[in-house]
Amino acid sequence: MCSALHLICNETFFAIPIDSLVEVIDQVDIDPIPTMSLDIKGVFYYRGKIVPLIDLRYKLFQSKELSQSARVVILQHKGFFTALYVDQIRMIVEYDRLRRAENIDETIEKYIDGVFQENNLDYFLLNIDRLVGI
Amino acid sequence: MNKTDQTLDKFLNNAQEVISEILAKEAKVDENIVNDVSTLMFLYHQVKELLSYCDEYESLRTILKNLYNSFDRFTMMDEELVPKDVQAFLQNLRALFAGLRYIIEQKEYFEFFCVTGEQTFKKIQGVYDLTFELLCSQSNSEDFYDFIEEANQLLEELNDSSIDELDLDYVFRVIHTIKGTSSFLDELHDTIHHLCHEFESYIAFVIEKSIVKIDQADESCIRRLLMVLRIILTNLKSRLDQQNSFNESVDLIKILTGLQNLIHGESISADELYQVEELSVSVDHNIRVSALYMDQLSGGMEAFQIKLGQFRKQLESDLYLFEEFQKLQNSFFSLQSRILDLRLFAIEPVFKRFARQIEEYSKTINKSVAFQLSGLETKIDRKLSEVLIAPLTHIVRNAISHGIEDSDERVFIGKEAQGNIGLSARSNGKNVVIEISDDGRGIDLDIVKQQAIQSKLVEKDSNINDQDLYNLLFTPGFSTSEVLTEVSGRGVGLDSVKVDVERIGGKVELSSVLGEGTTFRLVLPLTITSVDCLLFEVNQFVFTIPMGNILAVYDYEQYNEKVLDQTKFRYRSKVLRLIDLGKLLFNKGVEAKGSHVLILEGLNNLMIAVIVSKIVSKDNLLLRPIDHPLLKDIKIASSMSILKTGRVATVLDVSSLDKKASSIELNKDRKNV
Repeated sequence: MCSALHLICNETFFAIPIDSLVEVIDQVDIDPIPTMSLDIKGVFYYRGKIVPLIDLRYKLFQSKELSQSARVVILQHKGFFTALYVDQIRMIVEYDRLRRAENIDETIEKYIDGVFQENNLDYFLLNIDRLVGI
Repeated sequence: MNKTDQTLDKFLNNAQEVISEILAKEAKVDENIVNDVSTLMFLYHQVKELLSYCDEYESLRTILKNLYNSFDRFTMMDEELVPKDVQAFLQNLRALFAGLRYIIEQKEYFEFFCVTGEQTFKKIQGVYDLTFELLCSQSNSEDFYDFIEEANQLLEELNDSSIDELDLDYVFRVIHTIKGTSSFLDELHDTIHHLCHEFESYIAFVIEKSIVKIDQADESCIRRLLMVLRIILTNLKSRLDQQNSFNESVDLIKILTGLQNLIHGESISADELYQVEELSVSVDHNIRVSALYMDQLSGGMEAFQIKLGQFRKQLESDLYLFEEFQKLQNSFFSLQSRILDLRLFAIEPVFKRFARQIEEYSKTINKSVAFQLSGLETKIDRKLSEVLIAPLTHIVRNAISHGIEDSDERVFIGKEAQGNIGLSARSNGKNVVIEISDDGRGIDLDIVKQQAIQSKLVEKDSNINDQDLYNLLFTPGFSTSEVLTEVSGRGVGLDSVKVDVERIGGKVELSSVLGEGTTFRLVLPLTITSVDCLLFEVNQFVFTIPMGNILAVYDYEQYNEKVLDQTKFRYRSKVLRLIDLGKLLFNKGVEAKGSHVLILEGLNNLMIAVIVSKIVSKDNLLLRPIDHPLLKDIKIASSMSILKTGRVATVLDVSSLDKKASSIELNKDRKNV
């Protein structure tokens, strides 16, 4: 069985492998970096490092709507801290089998490993490598 | 006592007698021992005598045989040796015997020794051989010093990373690298090479048999051998530090005894380990601190600085507390400045390494080049030196390959047959300036221009000045490789030199005289971590630029009359491009009220004027390279910094701002067409 954090983005269920998860925080003060691609909301200072914040909604759905329950998920992957700005955080879910996602948007397909089912709900498992671009 | 023990005991007693004789002789003849052939002959025969007790112990026999052979060499080399070397040699000899005695006295370890003795003894022999070879070595101590520094650093990194788990592949790579880097040593080469080779073979053997998991005994043995190697290197470094003579206070016997303990003991107490480490450290008057710790210390200071900044705001209303706070802050600044100083070291080893590389490289391409070094005492940040190596190597190698002419050609045009390359460093308190100059062909700007026209980088009839042509050489992909000038080959990769230098907040300048030579000037911050910067707002967001790039600041009343048709700015006798940073960065111009114009200077005398919303303050900032893969495409920044408030400020890069403004104008022109 594998564990993943359930998060919601644009009313779609996603999950990220628990191994990379460092912390979930409510909000951070973001400093923008002009001229960067729009899916990078900016950077912030975290545990002595400058961390980029990926706007997951923009990256996957090209949408910039704001959510009241938005959270910042901090990941540590291959030695770098990276943060994801997501609409909502739920709970830890467990899965044992991934299947190939079918009939989904090309952009989403690019950033996921596959889909798993839990309590009759489908979750897209995000691929951190591709998301962070390392 | 069995027969074996009796024989060994006899051997050791005799060995002890020899040592006493040596001491007695040594005391009598004192410094004239070198010329006292009879004394040497006596020692020579004593050791020979000892050999007869060692028939059953091949390892002991081998080591004594080598000792005996060493005497042979010793007697032959007497003219080259000075008395202090002899003293040190004898001290080594005593240590060696003490080590042997220790092995036998520790009966419980004796069996362990018999099992792994052959290999272990080779290491002890290595200790001895190394020190003896060093005594005989009359040259290249600087090379050796550098080698030890590098090897020690590798071993320390390995030690840091293998506290919990030993990564055999990593250990193998480190030992292999040490073996490889020892290749430039002369007399010592064979011994160190041999020692590392033995070690390497042993690790390879362990790797092969440890498919699933490393055996605990093997791991323990490898750890001990790593410790041995570190102690050997530290010992040798101390010897060099003290100009090839042993300090009386250094108790080599104790170190060697501790070493035996490490090699033969199944376990060693923390106190004992500390003792050995302390002894090996005490031979060096300088304390080596890992770069990682220094970074952590700087990071800690930075976090502290941010906290202080946050407190400051809260305390401003209470006069008494604020005064006390300021005292605390002043103490902090003084502590911070001392810690920053710790990061600085003389540039000499970096330059000397280049001198060696140049010598080797020029030999391989059959060019005769003399190398002049100056400003060796100039201090730079250790991290800066690491970043510097790639750009310096690039510039220097290209100067030899393409800048300096062949000897025949030089003589034909009236130059000395031997080419010259100068490497100099100086510091003005704020910056370190490194110049690399050669007396080679120089750069033919006509050829650069032709190539630029061919590459469509400039218009055929354009009136481009010399400095702009030099700038073109730093353009990615710009190459004049089809033309046989100094530039040939230099075009490729000069952009990477620029990137490397600018990432640490420095700049590169180039000047050249055709037929006379070329000079590269790297202007670098004194330390990567601390630069005076101006903080300003653009549409409510804070940005910063190092003060070194700012020539002047005008407020709205002052600058308004100098603006020409919204896009140009009159500064002294020049007309500069005027960039509204609001428009450039956020597509929304800054409000005129409260705005300022900054006159900025970039690489190769590039000057631009930028409008910002508001000046915030001047501050000494720690600049951080942008290393996150997601941020590597930032086009307008060279680095970032954490402010006292905990916010992040992007450090804008002058050349990139100018380039970005040009590309926007170009797009606008295209749309208009």
